[in-house]
Amino acid sequence: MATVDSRERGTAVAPQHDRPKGGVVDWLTTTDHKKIGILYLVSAVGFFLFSGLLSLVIRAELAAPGLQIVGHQEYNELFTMHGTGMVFFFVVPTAIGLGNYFVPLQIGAPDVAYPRLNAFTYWLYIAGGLITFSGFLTAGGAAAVGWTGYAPLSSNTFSPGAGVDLWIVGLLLSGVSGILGAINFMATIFGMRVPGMTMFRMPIFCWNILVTSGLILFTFPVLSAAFAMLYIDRQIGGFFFDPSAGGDPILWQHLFWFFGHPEVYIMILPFFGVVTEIIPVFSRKPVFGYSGFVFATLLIGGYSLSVWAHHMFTTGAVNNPFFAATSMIIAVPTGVKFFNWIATMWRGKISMQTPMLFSVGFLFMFLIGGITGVFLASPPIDYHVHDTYYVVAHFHYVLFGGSVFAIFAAFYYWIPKISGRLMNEGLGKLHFWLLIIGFNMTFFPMHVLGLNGMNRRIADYSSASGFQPLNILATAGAGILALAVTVFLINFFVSMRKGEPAGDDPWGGYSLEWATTSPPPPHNFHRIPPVHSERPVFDDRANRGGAGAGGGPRGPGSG
Amino acid sequence: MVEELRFFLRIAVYLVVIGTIYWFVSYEVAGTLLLLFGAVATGFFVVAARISFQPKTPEDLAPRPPSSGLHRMTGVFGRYFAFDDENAAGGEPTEAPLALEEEGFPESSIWPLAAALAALLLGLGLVFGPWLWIPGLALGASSMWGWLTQLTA
Repeated sequence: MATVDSRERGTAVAPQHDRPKGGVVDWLTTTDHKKIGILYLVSAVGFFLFSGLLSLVIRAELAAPGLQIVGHQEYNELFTMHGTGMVFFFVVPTAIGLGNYFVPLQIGAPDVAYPRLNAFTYWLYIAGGLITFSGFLTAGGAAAVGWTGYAPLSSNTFSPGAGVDLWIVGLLLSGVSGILGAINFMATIFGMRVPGMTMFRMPIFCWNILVTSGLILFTFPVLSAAFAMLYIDRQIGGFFFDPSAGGDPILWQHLFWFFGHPEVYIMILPFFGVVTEIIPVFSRKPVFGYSGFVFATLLIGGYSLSVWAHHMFTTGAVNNPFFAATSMIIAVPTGVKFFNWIATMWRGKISMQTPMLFSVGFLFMFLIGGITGVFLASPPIDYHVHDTYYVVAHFHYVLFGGSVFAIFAAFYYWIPKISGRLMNEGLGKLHFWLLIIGFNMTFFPMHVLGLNGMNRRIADYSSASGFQPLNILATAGAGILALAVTVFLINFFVSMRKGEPAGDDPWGGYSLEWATTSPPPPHNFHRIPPVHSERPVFDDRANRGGAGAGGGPRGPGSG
Repeated sequence: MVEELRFFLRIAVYLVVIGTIYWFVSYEVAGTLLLLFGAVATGFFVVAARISFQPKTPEDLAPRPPSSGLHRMTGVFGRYFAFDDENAAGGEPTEAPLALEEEGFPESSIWPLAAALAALLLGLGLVFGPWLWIPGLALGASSMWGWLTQLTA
């Protein structure tokens, strides 16, 4: 473990470098990528808290057979808006927010390629979110069609009312926002790297944002087209998905999942990148197999475009062996990443501070989600557990155990850079342990419930089914999850007021964001070290003979 | 070929291959078209960008190393698909200059927010009635005007 050097710590000063203006008008009109990144992150956490509250109501309802808190219609609205909020308005925007803040810093750029477009992208996302969730204010309630919006359930016949229309239009706007953001990221990464920062010296996080942007460009237009077709069906008398008039509801599933499965990788690849940034720094080693990481990311991105119909095995309308094979093969590049992460830690000088703790938690939790994914890619198993809680358990291990754990790792790792103050280590570790206990209590029992035949998306179950004990366990776990998130919020607000000054480089980082002040000045850098490798800040420290070249993270709790 | 183009070329080739296989195992139209349209769009971008390409990235400015062993072994495939950073090794940078083109970056602008508000009104108009398009279009047009004139100011 690294030790705390009091003299080094003494060099850390309170965050006061070029502190930007902070008035309301300034935030409303900003085109600074860092402020837009902060806006994204704060808004995404807001949607996370709201969507999380919806899930707490769901868990409370499922704690006992019968209907105690909400009716069937309200329950349908709750799980629809929970899924929609988490997928479209929390996880993806968090990735975009982190990318906004850190991609220009990591490649040595003063801003993104199109700053105004970047601001528009953010406000369009907010507009989409407001429209989508405003369904709760309408007479018929919010959309109640599941986040997948399957036809013909989403047709006017079965889902009249403005809720579904607001859901369609809101997601259409947020989809356009995603497309514009992806273009901005690509232009920034391709066109604004500092001299010396070749493609194969870029931090892995930037590579992952690049591949994610590519996936967004391939898939979001397809989703937008599908939503436009659904809107035409509902409002203008179209019949794209109406079989009684020659339409095809299976077409909706093809279009939705051609977007929907790459979307899973859009939600996880940026956080693979986050973890790949954190593990080498806290192991005091260069990342093992840089090219392998990049290659695996490209392969995952490519493969993800050809697996969509594994969500449609039970329709009987797709070629199951093709999609089983393409789905299972994704485990290979993902396995490459896992081996590389482990090899990076192997015989490293590991410092188990909060960002690293969350990263290691991510490895274990995501691995479970990934392995159950391989099971589900097998049609005979999928036929057995399709639309059961086994699938709910699987994707929560991927998206909560994977994305959310990595999001918290990113917060603990990068908030000191954003704010200039370190988060509290003790509260951070309490947050981690509460989260991992609550998470496993909530979602592990769902595997068993699913295998025993408990259907997803149904508000009630029979008291004779034997499902209640595991449901009570899951509901108690959800309460612990809520407590864990509360600890995080307390930690955040306390640390922002009273946290220790972080200094420019509290962790002994490798990439260029650690070469500037915390928070960075407008246009990011006073000095950029020469880039000769994928670890320019490490090289610079070594060349200058400064402290930390061979040292480690020196935040609190590192001793 | 620079890595930026190879990035897209690999995707285009993959989509052609997988799209062709998919057609012959499924004869399913929607998925095949999605895959092949993706390939066409990406391929078009690669060709257009290759034609109009002006070297300015670090890899392009670097002196090219002599034909490497990898490229000799893999021939055309290596040239277009190789996964190596030999170009980077050929051109070590000197001290990286600060590229702060501050005048090129707008400090603030109200027009992105105004344009998003216009999109909000247009979107709500799709649900609650076209009357909302009147303020939406007006705000959208003025946002576009403000944005463009600010760009050229």
